Amino acid sequence: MITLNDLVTQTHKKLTEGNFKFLLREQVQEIVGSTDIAKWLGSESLSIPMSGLMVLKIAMRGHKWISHDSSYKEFEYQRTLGPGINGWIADNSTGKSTILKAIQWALTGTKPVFKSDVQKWIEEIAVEIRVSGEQYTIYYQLADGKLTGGGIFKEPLESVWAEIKPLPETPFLNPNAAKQRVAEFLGEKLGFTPLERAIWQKYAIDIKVTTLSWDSYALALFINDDDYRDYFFPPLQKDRSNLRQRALGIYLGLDLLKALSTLEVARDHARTDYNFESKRINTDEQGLQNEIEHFSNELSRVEERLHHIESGSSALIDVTYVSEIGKKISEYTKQIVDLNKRKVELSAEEQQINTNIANTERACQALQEAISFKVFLSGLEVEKCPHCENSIPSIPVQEEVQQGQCHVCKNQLQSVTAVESHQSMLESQKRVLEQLKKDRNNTTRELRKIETMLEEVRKEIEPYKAEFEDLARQQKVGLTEEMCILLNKQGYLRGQLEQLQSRTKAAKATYLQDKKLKFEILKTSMGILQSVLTQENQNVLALLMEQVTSMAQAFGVRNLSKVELDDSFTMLVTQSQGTARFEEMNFGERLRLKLAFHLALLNLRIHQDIGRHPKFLLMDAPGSAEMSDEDFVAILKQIADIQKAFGDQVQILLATTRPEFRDYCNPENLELLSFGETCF
Amino acid sequence: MEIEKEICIERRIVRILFILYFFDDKAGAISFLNDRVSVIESETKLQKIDFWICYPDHLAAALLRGCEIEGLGNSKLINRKQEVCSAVRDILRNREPEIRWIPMRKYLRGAYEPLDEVMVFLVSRNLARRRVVENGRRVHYELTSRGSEVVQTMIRECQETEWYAQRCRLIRDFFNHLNGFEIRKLQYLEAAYAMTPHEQMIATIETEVRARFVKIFGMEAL
Repeated sequence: MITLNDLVTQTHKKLTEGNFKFLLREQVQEIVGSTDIAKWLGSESLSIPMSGLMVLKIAMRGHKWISHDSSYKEFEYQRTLGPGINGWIADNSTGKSTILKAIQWALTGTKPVFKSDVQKWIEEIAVEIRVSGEQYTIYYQLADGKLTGGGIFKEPLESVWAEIKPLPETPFLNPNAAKQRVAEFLGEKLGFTPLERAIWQKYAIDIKVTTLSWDSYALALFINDDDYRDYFFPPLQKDRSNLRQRALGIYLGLDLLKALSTLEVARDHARTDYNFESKRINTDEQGLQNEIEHFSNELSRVEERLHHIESGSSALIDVTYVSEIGKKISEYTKQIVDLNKRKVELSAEEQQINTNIANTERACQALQEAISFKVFLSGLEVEKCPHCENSIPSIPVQEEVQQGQCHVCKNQLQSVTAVESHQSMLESQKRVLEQLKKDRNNTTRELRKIETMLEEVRKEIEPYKAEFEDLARQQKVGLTEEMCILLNKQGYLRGQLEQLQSRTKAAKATYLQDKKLKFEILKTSMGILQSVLTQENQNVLALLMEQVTSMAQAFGVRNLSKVELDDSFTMLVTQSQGTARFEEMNFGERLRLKLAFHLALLNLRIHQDIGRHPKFLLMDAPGSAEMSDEDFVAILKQIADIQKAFGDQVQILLATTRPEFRDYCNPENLELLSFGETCF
Repeated sequence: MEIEKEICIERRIVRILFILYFFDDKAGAISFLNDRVSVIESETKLQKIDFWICYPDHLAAALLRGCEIEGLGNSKLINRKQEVCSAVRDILRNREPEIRWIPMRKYLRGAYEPLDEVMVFLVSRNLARRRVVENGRRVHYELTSRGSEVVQTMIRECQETEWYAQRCRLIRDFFNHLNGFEIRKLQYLEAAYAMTPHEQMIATIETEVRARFVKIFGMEAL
């Protein structure tokens, strides 16, 4: 028996010897331990029932179509079956297969394929069985070939058949309920433990996990028709190889099946997960790379533009346009400066003229006053001495002028300043004033002209200045808006790129590696467990295959030297020409090998008490195809031997058209129909 | 200015004569002296009034000061803002600071021009006389009846004196209550006046006066 620790150690050793040299034991421990198989390792011991399954009675009734009467006629079929071989010998289309299929339906809950017309005739089926030493009756009510009611009764068939019984605790309300109930009931009675199984589904992301139960296992008890694609299961059973290992393991009572089943499901999950992720990442890769390229280019453009803006060389404003405006402003400004300079000069000139005018006017005023005052004051006679203020004798001016001597101080008279010179000066000043006023007028006119020109130039420069001043605003507004947009876009693109990069194959390599590693660990550990299972049950399998080999040889498989099962329970047949798998054998050989395998399995249970085979077998027309009389007889002999030795412990229900069978079946267990007769 | 040298004496005689005629420190008092019509008891007052006649802008500035501040004995002007406004506006409108300005020099106690030559003329024609009082500490300037008659005749017959008569009346009207010292103090309030160096020509302040007029009365004196 292997423990979880052993399994982890062996798995780790095998993987590190291979491609996973740096794998840690802890990683293996974590993944294998997470499957929760520890409880099944070293503790599995599925119970083996002592007795098998035996059908005691079969009853059917309904209405069958009578073609020559063109009407339905009531029918009822009942037969009591005993231990050992029970047979039906009848021609084709007499109803023997229908009877076997009815028994199969009752024992599995899974409806077999009836002939389409016949299935509508059947209204009730009852099968009395003995299992675990107790008798039960499985009862189906049908309408139009579909199950409508019934149940499992712990009563003899007669009592169920005779009257309408109240439904049992778990009634068959629908086909699924019937299937589930029969599987639970017989699975438990016969020790067929439910096991998990993975089912592959096309186009599905994950595997579907289903629970194997009696209804699947029981299919191996029926050898139907002439299809022998699998050595163990009847036709129409899908995914047989996956099922076979578990079913055969259950039949043989092999240990570790639970652990193996759990591990297998975990492995399949891991494989699907890895495959899906791998495929998804690969599929996404091209699209991702395209998107990354697209976003990278976009980001480059955005960053280039941002750099452009930050370096101040914005293309928002046309440089030529700015230059033109600048040139215009420069020209007009030069004009304004020149005009202003001239204006200042003229203003200063005007100011100077005004000052001169004011001075001249002041001079004129002074002269005017001086002349006027001089005339007046000169007429005033000197009356007193300005010092002593004493009166001075009055002498006519005329007289004094004639004497040429001052009559007060006796000094010589000074000539009196004439007013004429003042008048002359006044006239001169007035002329100067006139000229100054003219000059001022000219200057003022020129100044007004300059001012007008200045005004015009200022008006002309105004739009250019306004446009120039607005350039900064336009640029600022434009840049602010564009910067906002660009920065947002840059952030968005970087985020997108980061996200995309994280999804690339390169970024996901570790992720995928982990997935693959998980799968590899589970696969390896399952292989090890499978190998352990095979080794531990080697003796049982060797015994089984020994019997299969000898029986197959007896049944006519030519040049057969060995039949064996590999680790996954694939049947390998060694003949003189080499070893081939069961599926590669021809039809006749497959038939013989399959019968040999089932009889060997049955034989092993009976003779060696190995496994949990229910000691029950249904065989429908086993000799109808490509089987010589000699080979068929060999089969019958083998069956007869089983009956002879353990007839009371085993039950084989066999329907055939071959009359030879009569020699190998007790007459009381044989229903032999004459030509033209039907079973019901 | 050459012309001014030639003509200044007659104008100055007329100014002093008119000042003596229009201002009288003993107005209403009975004179026991012979032939005295009016008297100015301080040379300072005579000089300072003469300055205002020569500098119409400084006179306007003094009028505006009276509207701005109290004290200095001219606080009465605050109640005569409209009259001040009208007087200053006329001075500025008539460009008096430009045309009627007669330069004066500043000495230790402000604007000053020696009066000797003028008084020789006035005394010899018996128009005015100078009286030294208080042991020579003060000088009184008196107008004679002859002087008064001459002024009246000039006002009548010489139209150029009309402006002087009006100017004297204006100054008398607003500042007659001030003595020489008070007038000098008022004139010293103008920075241009106060800051003029010794013996230098006192500057005109027309621009400043126009600005102050606008500030006080809210209109241009155009």
